[in-house]
Amino acid sequence: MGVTLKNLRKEFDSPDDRQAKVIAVDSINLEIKEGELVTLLGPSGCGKTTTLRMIAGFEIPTAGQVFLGDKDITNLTPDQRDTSMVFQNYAIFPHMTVADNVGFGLSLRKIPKAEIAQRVDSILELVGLAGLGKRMPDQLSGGQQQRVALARAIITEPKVLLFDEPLSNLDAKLREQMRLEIRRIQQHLGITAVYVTHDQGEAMAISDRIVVMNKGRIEQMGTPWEIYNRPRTSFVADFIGQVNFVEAEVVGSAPGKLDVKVWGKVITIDHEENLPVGSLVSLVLRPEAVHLGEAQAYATGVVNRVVYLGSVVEYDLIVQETNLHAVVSSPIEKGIRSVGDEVGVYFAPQVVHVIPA
Amino acid sequence: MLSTPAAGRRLRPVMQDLGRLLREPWLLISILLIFAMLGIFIILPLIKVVDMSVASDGSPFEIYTNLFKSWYMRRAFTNSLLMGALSALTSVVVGFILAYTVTRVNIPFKRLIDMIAIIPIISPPFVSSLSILLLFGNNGLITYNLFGIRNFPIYGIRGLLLAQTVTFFPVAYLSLKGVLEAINPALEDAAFDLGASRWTVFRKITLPLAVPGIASAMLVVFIESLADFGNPLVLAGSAFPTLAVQAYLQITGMYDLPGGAALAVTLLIPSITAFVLQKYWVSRKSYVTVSGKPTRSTVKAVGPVMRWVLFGFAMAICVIVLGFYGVIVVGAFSKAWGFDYGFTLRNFTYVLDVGFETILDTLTVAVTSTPISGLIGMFIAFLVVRKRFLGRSAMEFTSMLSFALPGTVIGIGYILAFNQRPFLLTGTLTILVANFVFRYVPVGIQNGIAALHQIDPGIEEAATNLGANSQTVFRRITLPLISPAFFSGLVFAFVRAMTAISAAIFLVSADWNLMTVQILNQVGSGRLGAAAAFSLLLVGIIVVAIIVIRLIVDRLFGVRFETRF
Ligand SMILES: Nc1ncnc2c1ncn2[C@@H]1O[C@H](COP(=O)(O)OP(=O)(O)O)[C@@H](O)[C@H]1O
Ligand SMILES: [Mg+2]
Repeated sequence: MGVTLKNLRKEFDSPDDRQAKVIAVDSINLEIKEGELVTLLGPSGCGKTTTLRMIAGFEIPTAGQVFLGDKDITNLTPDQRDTSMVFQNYAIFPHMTVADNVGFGLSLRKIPKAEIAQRVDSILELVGLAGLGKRMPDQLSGGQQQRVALARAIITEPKVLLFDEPLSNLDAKLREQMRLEIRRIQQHLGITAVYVTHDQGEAMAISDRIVVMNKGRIEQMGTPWEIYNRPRTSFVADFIGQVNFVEAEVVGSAPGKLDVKVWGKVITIDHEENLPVGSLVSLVLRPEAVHLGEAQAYATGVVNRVVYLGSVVEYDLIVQETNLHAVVSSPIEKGIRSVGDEVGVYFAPQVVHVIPA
Repeated sequence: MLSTPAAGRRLRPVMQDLGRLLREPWLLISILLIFAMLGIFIILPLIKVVDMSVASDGSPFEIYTNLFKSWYMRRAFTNSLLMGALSALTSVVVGFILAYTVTRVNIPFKRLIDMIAIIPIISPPFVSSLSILLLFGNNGLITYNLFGIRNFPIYGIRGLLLAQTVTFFPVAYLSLKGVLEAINPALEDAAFDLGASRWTVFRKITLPLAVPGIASAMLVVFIESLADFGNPLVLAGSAFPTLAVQAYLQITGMYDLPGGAALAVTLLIPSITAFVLQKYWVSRKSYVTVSGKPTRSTVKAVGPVMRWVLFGFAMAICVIVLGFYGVIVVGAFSKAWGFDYGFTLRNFTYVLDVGFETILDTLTVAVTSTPISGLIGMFIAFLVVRKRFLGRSAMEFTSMLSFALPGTVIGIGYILAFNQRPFLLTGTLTILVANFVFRYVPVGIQNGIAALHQIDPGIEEAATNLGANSQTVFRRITLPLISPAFFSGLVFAFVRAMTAISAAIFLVSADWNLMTVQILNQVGSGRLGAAAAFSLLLVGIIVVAIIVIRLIVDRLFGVRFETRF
């Protein structure tokens, strides 16, 4: 079942000043389709957790509504909602075995013991914990505890799965493995999911759609491809990976096309909206899209800093008095530059994307 | 006003809170039930006392003005305050020095000091008065047997201060030990490292950090001293009247209920003031979280000379306390105190003869009231910490209030409130049980709140999220997790119920009597040997009961807990 948020808003009393309010979530609208995994992505404090907790029912919205399918669930208590949450610190019941933890939700639904045991076993199998049902939570590793939390959340076959930074307590390697697991299980069950993270790599890897949030508002939503390649604001462009903003001036336009002058050269790029000639824009240029030393260079830059990272080399260049960041892969083939070298700078027109300056 | 959008918005959360409660009828009913119980068993008696004290034909304060025309009653008021202040001072000084010695100085016998501090707590509060009579009274071991003095002036402020200090220093010691343990020793080490002398470190680091804890301990002892009934009744005599005793005598001796009520209300005012100060002012200023893990203490804190001084002081306190309780043991087995110290069991056969029923009564009351009290306390703690509802802080305040209400006030309030239909309870088991349940409910609440703050709320949210309602969350998640704190609070409440006197003395009857009351009667009729034997029996029962409770809890629930006072 899908989830719809309508003008959802949450204000908290400010801890410092009784009169003042903290606007944690600023009237957002969002539609999540059945079976979709949508990520709420944004910096710490932007309102992701609060949004998630309003869907789960742990926070009461100041205004607005939450729908599950067509049903308004705004005023239901958490236990009356068909949502299951995987908590950041797992929130595993410390006094119960793994099997009792996982079976907890079923035991509330008056299901016979034998059936619970059987379903617990099959879920443990699904999350890769077969045979560990008798363990106590403190006998598990972090990754295993994470799986218990996941198993406990999905066993009741909820309509919506909610994740609040579920991987932030794991080390980097395990994180990458677990996010694929979560995605696999979510697709296997075909369950609607809302996933909160501040890690853009994680968001890119598992989402059908990403919702970028900033200061309680939605900055942009779209597929990982759109968010990365067609960011609509500098905030989004900056938050998702590294980025250069290159200043340019509109010098002409045709339907779906735009002529811009950058570094003294005029290039033609794709752009839907019409912009008046003479207006200033920023070109969003990803560092890996910058090519060095090509024959058809737009401008010349001076190498200011070189960082060798093995598989790639990072350069800071000075191009017409502004800084330009470039990342070059396969450095052995392409040769490594030194500080002070002059190099030609080029990018393919179709990789850049225009946002208002 | 209500129609402005701002007011509407402010109202919305309240309405939503209400809406949610209506969806969880069980929660709503329990909240209402608890409010009803607090209203009947804490607020109603309080109102009755105040009401009785102003119920006169003339001006509402006529009873007070008449009462305090007498210099004797004015003296009772100043005496009570003076005693409270002095006891707070001496108990906290002794308690602090002991606590500092135990937490900061490398000395042997630390466990002994802890044990010494427990003895006064598990004894009836007036046992130290009994010891003082045995040591310094007319036939006193020291005064008569040693020096041949018959009329040593031990009655009055001197004897009372000594008795209260021995009774209340453990309260200060145990809480200050927690405070000093929670101060990170690295702070003191850092100051040493920067070149501060030991004295400077103590003066500039340790003491300032402990000040809120010291103030809090002082206020707590002040409240306990004001409410103390047994010691002044035994030791103060007519030369040194105090409010709690005068209120009792006014009612039982002169049948003057309004006068007794007025004295009780007078006693109430400084108690509640101290309670409010302690709860809302001092505890806010605390730098240390008492729940913090005890860290390794520095052994550099004092020099060699000071170390011996502190060790000597600690041992002196141990000797005094052991002496005090030692004479009770000797007295219990002696033929005639002061004249014939030959061994006898006569005191015990006498006590069992006249008091066997009372022992059973006392156990019945304590065993029934403590689990109820503990459960209600834990549940209120759960509501207060984890739920949002209108009147939440009122609930917390009211239930914690009974800690600050002197027993005398409660006792008088209960006889006033429950002597007619629909609450005709005087002389029954119920009134005693109700009294102890609500008197010791703050113990459960405090333990419960401390334990709940240690549990990640996410754990309970996870259960709710999986479909558990509040009731199920409490039963299956919260209760098991806080059960060690629950049982430890239970033992404490049990001990208090077994040793309480000040409220109970108004509520006992021929059918239902309590050991403490009978012990006091024996002291009053001069049968010190019997009183000693009875006291020893009571302490013995408490110790056995604690061991039994621990065994049962371990067997039945598999929970092991610390007994903390
Ligand atoms: N219970 C609360 N009381 C007051 N402010 C809160 C509370 N919970 C969250 N906030 C504030 O709301 C904002 C959003 O918080 P949150 O949703 O936790 O952000 P995120 O999960 O994106 O890091 C923050 O400014 C935070 O300080
Ligand atoms: Mg968060």
